[in-house]
Order: sequence, then structure tokens, then C-alpha cells
Amino acid sequence: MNGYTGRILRVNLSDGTITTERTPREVMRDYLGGRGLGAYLLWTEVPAGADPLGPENKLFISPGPLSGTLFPGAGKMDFTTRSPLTGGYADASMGGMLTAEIKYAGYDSIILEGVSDEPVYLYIDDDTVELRDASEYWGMGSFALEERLKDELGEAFQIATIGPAGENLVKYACINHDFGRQAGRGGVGTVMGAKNVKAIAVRGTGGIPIADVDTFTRLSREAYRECKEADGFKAWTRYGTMIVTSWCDKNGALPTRNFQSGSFEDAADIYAPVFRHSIVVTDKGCFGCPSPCGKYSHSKKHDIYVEGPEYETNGMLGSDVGLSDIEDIAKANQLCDELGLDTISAGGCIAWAMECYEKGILDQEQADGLDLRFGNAEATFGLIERIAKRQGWLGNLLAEGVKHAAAEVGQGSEKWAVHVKGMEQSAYDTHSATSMLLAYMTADVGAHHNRAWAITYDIAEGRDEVSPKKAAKVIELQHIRPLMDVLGCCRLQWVELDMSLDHYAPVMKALTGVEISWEDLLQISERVWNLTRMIWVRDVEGFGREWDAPAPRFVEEPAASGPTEGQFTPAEAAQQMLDYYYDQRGWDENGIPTPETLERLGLADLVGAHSS
Amino acid sequence: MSVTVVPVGGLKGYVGGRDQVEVNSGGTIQELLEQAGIDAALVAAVLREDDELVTVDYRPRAGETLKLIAVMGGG
Amino acid sequence: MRLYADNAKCSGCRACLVACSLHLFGENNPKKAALSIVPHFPAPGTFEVKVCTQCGQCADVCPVDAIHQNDEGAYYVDPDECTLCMLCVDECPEGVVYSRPDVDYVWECDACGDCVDVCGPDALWLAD
Repeated sequence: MNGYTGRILRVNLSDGTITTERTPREVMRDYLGGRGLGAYLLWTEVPAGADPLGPENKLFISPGPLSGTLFPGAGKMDFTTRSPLTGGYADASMGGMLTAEIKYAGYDSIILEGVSDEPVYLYIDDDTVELRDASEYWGMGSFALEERLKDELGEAFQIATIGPAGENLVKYACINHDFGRQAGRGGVGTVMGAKNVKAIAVRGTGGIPIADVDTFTRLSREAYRECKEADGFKAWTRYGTMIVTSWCDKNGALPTRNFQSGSFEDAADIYAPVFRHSIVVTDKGCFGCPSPCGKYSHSKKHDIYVEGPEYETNGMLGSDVGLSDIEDIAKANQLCDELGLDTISAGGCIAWAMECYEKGILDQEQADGLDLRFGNAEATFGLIERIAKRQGWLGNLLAEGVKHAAAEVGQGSEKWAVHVKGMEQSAYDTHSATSMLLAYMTADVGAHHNRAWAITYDIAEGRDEVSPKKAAKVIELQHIRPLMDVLGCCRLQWVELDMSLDHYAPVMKALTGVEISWEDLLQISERVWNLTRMIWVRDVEGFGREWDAPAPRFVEEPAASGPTEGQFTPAEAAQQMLDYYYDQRGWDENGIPTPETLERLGLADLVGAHSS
Repeated sequence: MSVTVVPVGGLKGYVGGRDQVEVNSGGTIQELLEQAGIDAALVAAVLREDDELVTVDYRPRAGETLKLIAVMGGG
Repeated sequence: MRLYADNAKCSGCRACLVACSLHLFGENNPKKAALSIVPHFPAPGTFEVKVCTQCGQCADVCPVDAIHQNDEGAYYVDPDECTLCMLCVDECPEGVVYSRPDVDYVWECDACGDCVDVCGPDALWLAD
């Protein structure tokens, strides 16, 4: 099977059996791999009602057809599971080197099922697959363990780990890899921890079969040339995602003090040039990437190394918690990485707690002695540790996520719990940006920007404009961006360098030998989008329109300062955007895909009984 | 006294697709962009010839060439 | 003509290795490349690139004279003459003469420049 290995690895952690099965061709034809394969397997293998932390849930670990090949950005993989944080569909994309290594070892996907009695790590050396004892590694931080396993097994092994947060079942625990890359969101690390899997170590020495090697090589090399000659190449490579910090600050999109406003008075201290000059050591790239966005850094102040901060962490553990020293943000980043926490959710929970504290709803005793004012770096570090270790009442509470924490604490604090579907919102303030607000409302994992990033469109078309055109834009982005998660490659060559989308279909054809058009690829992406929607419908009782509700802050409370001061989006406007969206998606008024839509996308047989 | 502004990607549309445009120096980049008819809100950042990143508040000197970095599609 | 590398610019992406394997073997397999990337993490957090300097020591030590120079002056191994004695692999000061069980000869860099083309940060270049 050109482009694929032809094998899926299934690991039953309950009884220790390890088997391989043939990669089903029809499934790969319709879902391609990566996020697509993950969604298909999640639907077919994990029943509704499965406890996310229990033996019935599974963790699907999938490269895509482009992973590990010469094509630019071929370094991504997707982790799919039922989310302990939201209770619905979760996937998290991860860069680095692991996706390629899994393909070289000969696997199109790795399925972790059941629960191990004892801590284990999964060892893969080409055809040799073992579950090895990890009890002496339990409790170790992510970097520390990666360093140790590279030492013990050899530098050639690619290592992914969970930290103490995953072991302690913090609901937004992440998976770390390659000294600085994560599968961050939705609690994919939590599921790995619940299964008692501390790490995955892979070495693969095989190649990836290509149908038309000459054409594939030529097309890929042309794409590299296009990237290197791109107008934005130099700036993007020098600064990475941090480059948008200043723009977000000036346009009211930089989350500040728990999204109270979209601009931070001290933001100039954390703009990209300050970052670059003060702590960056190396431009670090994922597999096959010509435009390395990773910025490996060394903070002398805290004597730590970290890959980052990137924009999201700069927002969520910077301006959103009131921190303006880039070295403090780097330290907070490193703590989250080492302990194995998603920096976005951690920042969102801490910011909520800080607002509660400043409003007098939480006191210092409840905060375990921490003075939880915005801008207190030591308190931020202290709370990160307590969350990861579930130490103290507040640490343990925040480990459950902001939705749960606010429901528990009450006293109006739900109003400033900034989440959708239980996932803390990522770093774009949406008081006045209706496309982006819709993007957050409808992203299929919760409030994450990976599926659609539409603020530029808002600025260009009128921030508070409510229109079918804006909904169409969000839908368009929701088909293109996650397509990359299906293909196993990065979207940023297109997003940041404007690399042509015209490459993907011819490259896939040269790789697999199968005729495919760009329209085919988009349809597969739309199929996957509707499948992940149906997973929510089936698995979450009463799922519907209410679950797409925006965080109250943006529809009730004006931004406190900055370019959007005094503005917010009326709730009716948000609902109108949702109406346009459902209509264009072919979903009913409750947001459930109609039978006609499922039929059109070839999903009727698979999910039909659950449609509207 | 003029400053050369190099719009990138989608920003070219504001100047009829030209690769670069001359503007009078003496104001911030924000002001110069208004002069050139380029929507400053869509400029993510500005790159100087020495690869240093500046914001639209920067006051260029005469003779400088500045590359405008368009906001593309975010993270 | 030989390959040069600036370690400070290397991002560790390994695209060079894939381009190399496609050139040498027509295979997409970075484990069959003629250069290597050595990461130094978590500290100091840099990458090192091992490239062939065309020093010729492999040719000098080959007992059956299987290593020659092409028109660009780059050394190459004649697959038919190589006996897999591995003396050149041990002799190479950079460790960039390679062998594998599934290949019945050793291989090394022929200065083709494909890796240079796919290196985003321009950490690699060809020169005399």
C-alpha cells in the first residue's frame, strides 16, 4: 500500500496481548489516516457510555500518509480518544519526529486499549513490540524521562511521555515528545495515564513505499523551493508564532487577565523581538519542515531550557494571567511541559482562579497560601505544581477543568469561566470578532483555534458583522485546516507561508498511486467533520445547540480596555451566526447533521441510526 | 524623503499588485500605510532590512525599506 | 566539491536525510542517508550535522580499491567491488560512511546537493 505501511498495531493493556492487523484499504480510501482514521476508529470501537478513564476507552495514535515523507511539514500525527475533560470527541496533533518513526517501524496506527495493572511503557523497535515495566519511571518529569530513555535505549529512539499530571489524571494532561512538542489538548495525556502507560519509545528503520517516486520527489522539492522563496519565510522562521503577539495586542485579540480585555498594557515586554533577543537559542523544526517555528530557549533567570513559549503559551500563561516577563512565561511553560500539562487549559484555569481571588470569592487559605493576584509569577508557578500533583483543595479542583471548578465554586464564577464544551478557550479574545467567536463555538474538540482561525476575516469584513459569508469562511477553514491532521502534515506551510494548496492532491496521487482531487480531499475532511459531530451526538446525552454556546464573557460583558473596550457580541448575534452555520452545514436547528447530509458524505450506513 | 514599503501576499491587493511602493517618511508606519492606502489592521508586523521586527508604531528613517508581514492564518 | 554545514543554523528537521536517501536509493528512508544529524538536548539545545568532507581516507584504507572519485572530485563506492570489510566505516573521521544489512555495499556522500535544496535554514551548502 503505497504511502502506508499496511499494518495497524493493537496493544491490549489489560491482558498484554499485542497484535498487528492489516490496514483496511476501504477505510483508508474514505478517511486517509491521522485524524480521519482516529475518528473512524473512535466511532466504531469505543461505545457510547465508555468511561474516558476506563478500559473501554481507547487511544488511537495515527500518523497520516504524508507523515515521514519528503513533502514539507511531513511531521505531524494525531492522538484521538474520548475526552476526560469534555466527555466528547478529542484529538490532539503533535509534531516532532515520532510520526515519521512510527511509519518507518511499519505502522499506520497504534491502538492502545484496556488498562494495564502496572505502569508500563510501549517499546517498538521495527517488528519487536513489547510492553516494558515502567515502575521505576513513574513520577518522572517528561524531559527527565525522555533524556533517560534516550540514554538507555539509544538516541535513535523517538520518545513520547506523560508527566506527573497524566499519572494524577489531571483532566488536561498532555503528551510530551522531542524535548518540546506536545499533543496538548483534551486530556489525551490523561487517557494515557489512566491506562498506566508512561511512555512510548519507537525506532523504525524501514522506508515508506511511494507509487511514483520521481514525481513525488519532484513535486516535494518544488514545494520546498516555494516555501523557501515565500515572502514571509524569513520573518516567520525567525520569530515563529510569537510574531502575532503584537498584532493581537493592537487588535484587541490578546487575552488579558482572564479575557477581561483583548489588550495588555505591558504586552510590549513580551512581543516577539524581546523573546528572540533574550532567550532563544535554536530554531527547532519538526520532521520535514523548512520553516521551523519551534524556538528552543534558555532562561538564565530561571536556569531552564524550554521549546517556547509560542504564541498560545505567551497568551495563556502570559497576558491572560498578567505576566509580562518573558523569562517568567518561559518558566511557566517549562513547568507545564515537565509536569505534563496543557499550557492553554492550565492558563485558563489559573486565570479564572485569579479573577475569583481578586473578586474575593477565593481567599489565600483556599489558595493554599498563594497570593493569587494577576501578575504574580510565583503564585502561577505554585499553582501549576499544585494542579499537576492535585495538591491542596484548589489544585485538585482546577485539575478538573474550569467548567467543573466554576460549577463547584458558583457565586457567579461561571460567568468568567471561559470555555466551550468544557475546554478552556485558547489565546484569542473574542469580545468583538464574530467569525472567531463562531470558530470557538463550533470547533469539534471544544474552544480551540486549530480548526478555524478567522480573526483576519473579522478585521477585514467588520468585526461585529453577522453574516452568512462569515459562517461560510469558518466552514471553509474547518475543512482545510484539519485536513492536514488527516494527512499527517503541518498546516503552517499554507497558513503562514501561503504555500499553494494545489500541491496536496498531486502529491497524494504520486504517493499512493490513487487518483484523488482537491475536491475529494475536502470532501473527506467534511466527512470527518460530520463524523466527529456524530460522536458528540451519540456519546453525550442531550447534545445539541446548547453545547455550541459561547463563553458568557463575550456575550454579556464588555471588554474592559484596549481597542475593543466597551464591546461585546450580543447573544442573539452569536446565535444568528450559529443559525447561518447550521444551515450551510446541512445540520438541523439543534446542530445535528441531517440524514441528507450524512447520505451525501457517505456516512449514512456508519452513523445513520443516530442522525436527526 | 521617501521610505520603500514592500507589501506581502494579500496586502499587494491594496496597491494594485505592486511589489513595492514609495511613501513619504516622517510618520509612523501606521500613518505611512494610510498614505499608501494599505489597511494597517491587516499588517501583522513589519520587518526591517536587518531582520528586526517592529510594529506599526515604528518611525522609519528616510531611505529605509520595510517589508510588511501580512496576518496569514494564525496558529 | 564537498558539502559544508553550519551547525548553528540546523533545525534538526531531517529533510536532508530523506532527500539523500531518495537520491542514493530511490527510497524514502532517512536511515539510508549519507549524512547525519546529532541532537544535543535538553542542553545546550543545538544540532550538529555530520557531513562528508571528501578527505579521501576511506579510499586510502580500502583494501580492494573500491572507492573512486567522480568528475566533481567526490568519493564514491563501487557497489560491485565493495567486499563489506567495513575498514572505511571505521576509518571515516566523521562517521559518515554507512552500511546496513539490507545493502550489500557501503555508501557515502556524492555531493549531489539535493540536501542543500531542501534545507530551509540554508545550513548546508556545496563548495570546493
